[in-house]
Amino acid sequence: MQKINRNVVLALLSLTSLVFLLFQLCYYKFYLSQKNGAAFSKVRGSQSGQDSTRWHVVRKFLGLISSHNIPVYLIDPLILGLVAKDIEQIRSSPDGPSPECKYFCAPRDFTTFALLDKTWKHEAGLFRTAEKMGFQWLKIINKDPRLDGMDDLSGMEIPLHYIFKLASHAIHLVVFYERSGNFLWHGPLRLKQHIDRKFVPFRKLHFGRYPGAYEKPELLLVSIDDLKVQIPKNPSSFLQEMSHSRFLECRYREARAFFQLYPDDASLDAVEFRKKAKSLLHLAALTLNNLGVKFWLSSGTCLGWYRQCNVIPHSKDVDLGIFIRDYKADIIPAFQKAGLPLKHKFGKVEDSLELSFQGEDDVKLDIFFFYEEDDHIWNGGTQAKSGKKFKYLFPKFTLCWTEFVELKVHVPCETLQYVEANYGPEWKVPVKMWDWKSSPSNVQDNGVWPVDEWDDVIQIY
Amino acid sequence: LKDNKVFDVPVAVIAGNRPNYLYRMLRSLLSAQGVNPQMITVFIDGYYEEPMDVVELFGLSGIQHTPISIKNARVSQHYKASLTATFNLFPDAKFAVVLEEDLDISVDFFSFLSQSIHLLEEDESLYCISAWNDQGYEHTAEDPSLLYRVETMPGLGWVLRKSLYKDELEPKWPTPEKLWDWDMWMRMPEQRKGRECIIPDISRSYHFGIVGLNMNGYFHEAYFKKHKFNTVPNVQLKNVESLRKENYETEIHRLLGEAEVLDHSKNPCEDSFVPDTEGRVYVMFIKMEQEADFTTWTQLAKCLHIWDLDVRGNHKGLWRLFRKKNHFLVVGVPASPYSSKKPSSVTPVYMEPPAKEEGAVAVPAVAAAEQT
Repeated sequence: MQKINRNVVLALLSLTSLVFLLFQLCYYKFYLSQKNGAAFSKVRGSQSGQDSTRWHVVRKFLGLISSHNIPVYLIDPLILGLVAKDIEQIRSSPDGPSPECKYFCAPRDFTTFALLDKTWKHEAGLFRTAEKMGFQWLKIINKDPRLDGMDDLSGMEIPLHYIFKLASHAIHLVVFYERSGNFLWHGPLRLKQHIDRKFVPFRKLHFGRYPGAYEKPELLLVSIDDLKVQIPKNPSSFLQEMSHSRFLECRYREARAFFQLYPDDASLDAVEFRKKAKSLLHLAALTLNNLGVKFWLSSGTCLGWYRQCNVIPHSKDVDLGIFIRDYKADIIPAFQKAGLPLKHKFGKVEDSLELSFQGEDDVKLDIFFFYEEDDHIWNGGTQAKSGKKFKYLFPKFTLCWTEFVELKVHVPCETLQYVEANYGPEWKVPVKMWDWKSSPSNVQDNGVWPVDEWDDVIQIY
Repeated sequence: LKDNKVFDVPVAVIAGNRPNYLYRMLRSLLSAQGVNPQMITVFIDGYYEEPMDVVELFGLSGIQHTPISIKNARVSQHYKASLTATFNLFPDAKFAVVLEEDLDISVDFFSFLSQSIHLLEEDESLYCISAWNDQGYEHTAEDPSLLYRVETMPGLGWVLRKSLYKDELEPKWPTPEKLWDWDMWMRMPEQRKGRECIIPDISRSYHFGIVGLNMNGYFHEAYFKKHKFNTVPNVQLKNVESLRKENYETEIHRLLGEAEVLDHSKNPCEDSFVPDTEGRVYVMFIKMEQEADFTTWTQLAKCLHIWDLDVRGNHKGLWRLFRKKNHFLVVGVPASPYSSKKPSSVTPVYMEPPAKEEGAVAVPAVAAAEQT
């Protein structure tokens, strides 16, 4: 009896240890494949665990937001840069399996996504789920700029950015808001007192240094590294926009202070002029945008934006600036076609070019072309009857977006020095009688056009 | 609410410091079918805690406005700030619903708007859609599915077209030192420019405010308490297309053709002026020398106990209401283009305002109570 028992016990023990061994093997295989991603059969030896961590964090995040029906889209400049190179391939094979992790494994600290505020129901459940999944998150809120205006309104602060941290990677979710003027705006990322500055390497973020303005993007659902994600349909043009997206709010507080000193003109004439100037500006913007010509608010129109966030009622026209390098011969016929005939053309492309188009009633559209030198920028003026040339000098400036009369337009980022150059230190004081030949602070005599050129450089219609 | 065409229309609630009113109003608003709380913004005229607490209680979004100016100018500046902010917060909205804190909102308010909003979008001759019928009292309104075109802007729960606000009203809104009522200003011909509003026969809002800048107990008793308010859910509006400019004229002509002319020798203020029938259409003709002659109408409105403080509810010299559940048309002769429908044998009724001493009207036996 004992002999049989011992054999049975031995057999049982061996069986148990065999089963145990098999179990270990299976689990080991399973665990390993989990770690490296089931989809990537050819995991390169050089690829560290870090790379796949990023992919996993992105996958988890995409799972989180899709389970709460939150439509985000990818705006990460690093990944979009890589995507842009392969865009044709990506567009044409939307569901193809990826043999290797090409995009989401790229070395980086953050993956940036965008969320359009109005598509989101703001329920707190998202954050509870995120925490359950292991994410640590933080929210950046600030004042709603859409409440800025001539009235003093204060509402709840709005979410501008979210950071979701997991393992050694973080997701940066930028919240976009729709603004008047048919564009999207996102806010700057400013850390308030209580936020742990070591939570994530904030300095490495791609969005948040300044507020930004973007066209509403057309999105495309693609499969990248076996993850389904929305991206801007044209990633390279989105990246272009990114490099020139800086947005400036109009200075409403200063405008209100201005109107305390100089009460606004509420006469019927002023209202009428403002109406005409606004529609002329809208038409000009439409025409130039269709041509792809970059322009900005210049002279009196720029002063109006900067000083009082509105069209100056006693200004007589709408003034725009265009860099001469952006000049296109199509400009004149395009305006003609839009119902704005050419009123006069001064100068030439090589020197002091100026165009003036006739708008509704007496309102003109003046386009000044700006010439860039090494250390300054200038535009030219011509006096028709004498052929005298004038030069207006400006310190070098860059262009920022702003919202003006329900339009997304450019203004010089360094607006104060631009306005001071043109209108001098007393720019805050309204001047009703303005002589373009002598009033500007930055005007210089620039000689006279040779008489034989007059037909070319002085054309009045 | 199925196929809700106003789900994405922002709702601006203009509030002051009457938190108990605001509570009542928001409760009724949030009980209306088809309401979208995400689109509601309450604008409070001042930094008052209690109204803000009420807003937060309902989980809605509230914005406080630093008040400027005084009396009615303060109210009009608050309206302007609120409307501008509404269109800034919802830049792709083409309309905004404007409500005040002293209104009850009917359960079919959004259903009513959903069925009629396309008219405001497509018909340039329309100024607004309002939920309030100035002449809709318990004894003068009957049909919840009926709509009218009127040459006045009733307010009290209305829809504003964005283009009207941004292009016309906002640029010339009265400045803070002008002590004008915003709604009186909006009704001026310079602003209204001959356009009309669509109203329902039975109002979709009820004005319950007794305390306020322009309100007091007596005023409320006399003109607001017995206002008819719709409580029927999901009312299907009848013949909405007939509210378009030309179609409405066709409809009026049809109605006038069908209408029975009443005996003009009787006193129109008496109950017996209208036969004891139901569902019939009657017409009466009153004297109206020119477009602005409302002498007789005002006296008639007074004795019928409807709105008589100024002239409301007219469409080209025609008023429409109900008396004893019959549709009752009043045509002003000869100012109204519908005067042609008057039979030659009928003399339009003329009523003079009473002389200072007596309370007499042109036809004797006054104080004939119309009210039930």
